[in-house]
Amino acid sequence: MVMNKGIGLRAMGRKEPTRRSVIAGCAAAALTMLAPTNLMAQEWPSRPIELVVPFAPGGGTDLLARALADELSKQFKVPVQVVNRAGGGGVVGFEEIKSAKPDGHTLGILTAQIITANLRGVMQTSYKDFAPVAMLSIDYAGLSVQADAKWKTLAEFLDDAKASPGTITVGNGSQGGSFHMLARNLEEAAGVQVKHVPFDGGPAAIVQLLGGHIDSTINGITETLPYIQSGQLRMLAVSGPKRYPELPDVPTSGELGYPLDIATWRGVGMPKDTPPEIVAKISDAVATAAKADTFLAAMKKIGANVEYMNSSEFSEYLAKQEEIYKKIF
Amino acid sequence: MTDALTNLMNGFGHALTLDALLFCLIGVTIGTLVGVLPGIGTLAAISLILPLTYYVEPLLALIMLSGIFYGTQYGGSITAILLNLPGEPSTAITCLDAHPMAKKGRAGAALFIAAIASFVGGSLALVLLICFTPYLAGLALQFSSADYFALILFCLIGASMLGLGSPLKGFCMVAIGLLIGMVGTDVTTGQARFTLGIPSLLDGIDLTAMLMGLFGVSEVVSTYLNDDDTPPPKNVTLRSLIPTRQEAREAAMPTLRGSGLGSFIGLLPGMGATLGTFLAYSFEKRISSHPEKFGKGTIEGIAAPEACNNATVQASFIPMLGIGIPSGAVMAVLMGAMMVHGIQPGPLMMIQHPDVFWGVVASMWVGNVMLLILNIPLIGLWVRLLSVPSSILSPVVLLMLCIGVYSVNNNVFDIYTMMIFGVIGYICTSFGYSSALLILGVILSPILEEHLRRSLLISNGDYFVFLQGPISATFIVMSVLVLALSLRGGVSAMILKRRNARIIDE
Repeated sequence: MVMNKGIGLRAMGRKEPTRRSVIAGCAAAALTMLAPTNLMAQEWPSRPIELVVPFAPGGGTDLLARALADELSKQFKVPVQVVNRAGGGGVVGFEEIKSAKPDGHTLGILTAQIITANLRGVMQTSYKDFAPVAMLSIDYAGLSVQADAKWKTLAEFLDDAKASPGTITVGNGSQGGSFHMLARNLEEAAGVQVKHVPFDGGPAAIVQLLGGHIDSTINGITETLPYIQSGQLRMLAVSGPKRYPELPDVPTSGELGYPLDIATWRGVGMPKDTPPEIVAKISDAVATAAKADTFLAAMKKIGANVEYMNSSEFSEYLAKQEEIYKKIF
Repeated sequence: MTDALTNLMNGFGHALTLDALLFCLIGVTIGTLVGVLPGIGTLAAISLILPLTYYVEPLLALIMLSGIFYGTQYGGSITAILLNLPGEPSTAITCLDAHPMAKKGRAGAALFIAAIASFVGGSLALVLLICFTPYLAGLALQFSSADYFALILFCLIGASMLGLGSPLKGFCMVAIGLLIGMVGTDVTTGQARFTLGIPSLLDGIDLTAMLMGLFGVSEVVSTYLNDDDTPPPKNVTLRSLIPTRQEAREAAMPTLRGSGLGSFIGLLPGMGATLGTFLAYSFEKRISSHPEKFGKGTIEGIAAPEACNNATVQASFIPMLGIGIPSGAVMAVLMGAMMVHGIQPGPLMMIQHPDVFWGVVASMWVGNVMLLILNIPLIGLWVRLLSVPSSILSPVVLLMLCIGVYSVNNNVFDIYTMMIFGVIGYICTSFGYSSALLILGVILSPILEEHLRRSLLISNGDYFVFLQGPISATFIVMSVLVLALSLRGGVSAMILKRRNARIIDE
């Protein structure tokens, strides 16, 4: 669908080359090599834009990227193509975004893995190697137990965890992933110790909780919601600044005295040396997209919580996140 | 039960509309093509087509996507039979008997049996899906990590001991496979292992690339080196396409047993179709009255894994639709597709979206019939593919493999992987080591390790956890029995050999 919007490219009008313009062009090319930023910014976007998704098609990040690509291509009048570069838990894609030509024609989706993969030592690239463009969505998580578990509140759960350290099992989606980090964050905040059990993805942890093989799981709210509604699981608390609209009775951890600031977030980034004017332009475009009805509808379907931040806010957020992660890693 | 019938009737109402039939036909046709084209796996195909379905009605999108999924299983066996080139890992085992059969000029019959067995397997699993989804979905919940570990262990021992050729060689290949499967990110600690600093190895060695190398490239290499341009059967008569009455009779029971086994494996999330096909094959060989014929072109060796394969695929919809748990990567993508349309698979789906649930289920049966109709008349055409001289066919196959493998992740590294495993596969096959068992080891290695370490983590390192649960204890005891049986066989063979040697000495 994105492909069909390429007409705008040709309509941009190309002049017939004259000798002077060719010489000028060569000179410009020479200059470009020395100072890439200024000249390119004027003609941007001059060709289709690539939006690199470091994850496989069909997942939440991919769906978000495709919805964004639709909105951006409407605004820029050039096709914005989603390119999936899955591998290494995002590392392959991140490396590709980082090393792309910084001419404003390559964007990419950034996730918490740019911080965690770096801290884990599997990726040299850090969040500082990107030009942060905008934050798009932040999804919070919830701590769930079986519906017939003895813990009715977070306080009871934490009391037990304090009484017998390292025995209550908490399932997470992956070692070092955001759910695991959130559990670590809770441990730090409440001064308790639990037993972290990593799974291959959040849903697998939910199944094992349903079967009673683990005591609890910190997991995506959207993924857990059906089991809360069907009465099989109980959610003790959600992370994040406010209660989840569809679970009005579940308190936030902040209300209970444990403000936790780790979430599954998705933002847009570009190669570090991209001209700042282009970054600003895209950041504005993402802001417009984040308010578009079609985009919001698509996000609602996948259960993503849209939260826009501009380039500098996003940059601050990243720095703050790294601080938090460093503490609990 | 009557409820299920009324619902199913409604489902057929949805599945037999003109739109639904069209999308189903598109789905299964694409699926067959993808299965036939080496290198392009189910996952890649569904992922590529997924974005196109965002603009279609959810039921139609799902009908088409699931059509692609089970369609590939039919298509995958076609190249496995004709070219010794499994389109999917789950058809690797079909090669063992189907390709020798094709070389004997019975390719048509092999294709025919494969198609029928697939149809029966798929249909039987569907009956299960229709009648028991709400009840069976819970079965997967009963399995703890310890149980999964014991089950996988049983499968590995069963496949390596009973299956293919020398048990010792089989054991070696499975063990090497398990080691290769350790490359990548460690699930339990998140550390990178044996990756040599190559980011492409962080997710492990790409399975499709490896499969295409071990089977496809090595077959091309061996055709080139051996230059055995056996003249293909000139006249393809209708008679040579249809299995003889005896072949049909021999295929009947293995088909049913394969379907049953496949349905069970499909219920368990994360197990995948490949594991079942190996078990089905080794089981048939074990109970067969002529086990020596396996691997040389016996009909049971085709029917059982093919039926099992399709039954697994259909049954794997049960945990996905019933409790919202994807049983593998393909199912995860299908689940993503449902969520795009605002349908959350899981316990509430049958209540909230009964039309979608039953519509998809009914369409699967329609799709299976379509596949049968699509495949049987094409058999004659497929068989003619064999009359293409290998000097033309081999380079084309090699090119297709490269394109196919590259297109999955757009990563050139995968082509190198394929080539390396092509050489390894050729060496293994030349010395009588089974590449299929290597693949099995690689596939099961990460889940075996994950479940082992997770159960030990939960039990505080207590190994008795595997004997405490009834499910895991059963599988462990069965593993020990199988091991003991084959050891006894090996030991008595050795004693016999020694005795003979002594007699000769004296």
